[in-house]
Amino acid sequence: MPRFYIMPMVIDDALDPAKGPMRHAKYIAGFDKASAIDYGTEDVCIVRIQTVSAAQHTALVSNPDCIGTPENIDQNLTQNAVDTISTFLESLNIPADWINTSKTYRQVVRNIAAIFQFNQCWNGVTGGSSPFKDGLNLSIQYNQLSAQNKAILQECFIRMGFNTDNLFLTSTLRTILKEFASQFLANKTIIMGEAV
Amino acid sequence: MALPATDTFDGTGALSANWTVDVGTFTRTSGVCYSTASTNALAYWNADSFAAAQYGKGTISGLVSYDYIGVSTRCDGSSNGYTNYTKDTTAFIVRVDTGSETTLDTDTGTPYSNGDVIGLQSDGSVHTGYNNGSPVTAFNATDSTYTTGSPGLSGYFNGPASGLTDWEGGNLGAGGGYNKHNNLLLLGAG
Repeated sequence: MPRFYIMPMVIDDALDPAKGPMRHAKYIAGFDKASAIDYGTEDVCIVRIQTVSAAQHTALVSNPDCIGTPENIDQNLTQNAVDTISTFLESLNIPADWINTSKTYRQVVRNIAAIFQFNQCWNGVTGGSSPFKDGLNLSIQYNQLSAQNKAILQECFIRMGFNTDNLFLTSTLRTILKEFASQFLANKTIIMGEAV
Repeated sequence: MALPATDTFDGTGALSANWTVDVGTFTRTSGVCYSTASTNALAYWNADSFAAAQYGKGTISGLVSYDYIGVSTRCDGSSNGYTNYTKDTTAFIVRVDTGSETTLDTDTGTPYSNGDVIGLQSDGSVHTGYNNGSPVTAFNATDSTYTTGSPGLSGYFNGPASGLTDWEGGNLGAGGGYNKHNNLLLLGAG
């Protein structure tokens, strides 16, 4: 059964020692098929591994830097899962205040994948940076951004064909990331091996 | 030139002037194109402009255990783009950022063989690996980093034992064999 995980991105030759270093999801070596979406240049990703045994799953989530979903991602999160996942995500600058027990794991996976697209756009616009590497945090407001960062942010929305109608001077980066994700999910497809 | 762009790699030596080599080096010998760099390699077709929804494909000539050969999309002239390359057992969909590689999808199930047509389609934020005109099962990625550019070639430390005998790049839905929204075929799997 496929499973989804959030884990670090690393640079090493684990995927093919003969080839040399590549940046990849930390724990995917040895699995037949894995599809990852990174948080732009931040060293974290969400990854779908096509076939994971129960023993492999146990081993993966025993790593403190890796969390995973159950096999059935159409079930709702428990409050304990909400707390665990939210704390894990927020520690990585990933907004998680939208996660609650009314959400299924599939919704969580989809929203995280969509949030990550914003940082990917930021990478593409800036040529290798991220909002956080540029000194921003989730609480910073749009009206506190430099002119350059405002331009980058707007370009991210423009490139994806998204509108900025719901962005205001007092919108925080947290809000902006979630708005970007909302428009992504409304207009585009999340494919990770299969449609999610 | 009219799309789709094509090349059969006639001649010997460096690629024709229709190509820009962004990363590494490529050469051609007896109708086979391969990279010769001891690193990753990326080249794109510079003689045409392409829509964002585009594809690249090429026929594989030989696969070995230590070299990769493949195709690319959305190469933007700054050593950025997406690639799908393969060796005998393993294929990767990779995002290239100023020459550095990030693995988006890994398939160690021998998805390609000698003589297959390896392809990569980029449509919106979805990048799908193709084999002989059909999507490879569960070999795709969602990535929004690069939204425009040109299709081309990719490889890693190839010698003539592993290369492409032809290449084609074009826009999706323009008669080149790849169509927009092929990814919708995957929706039923969700």
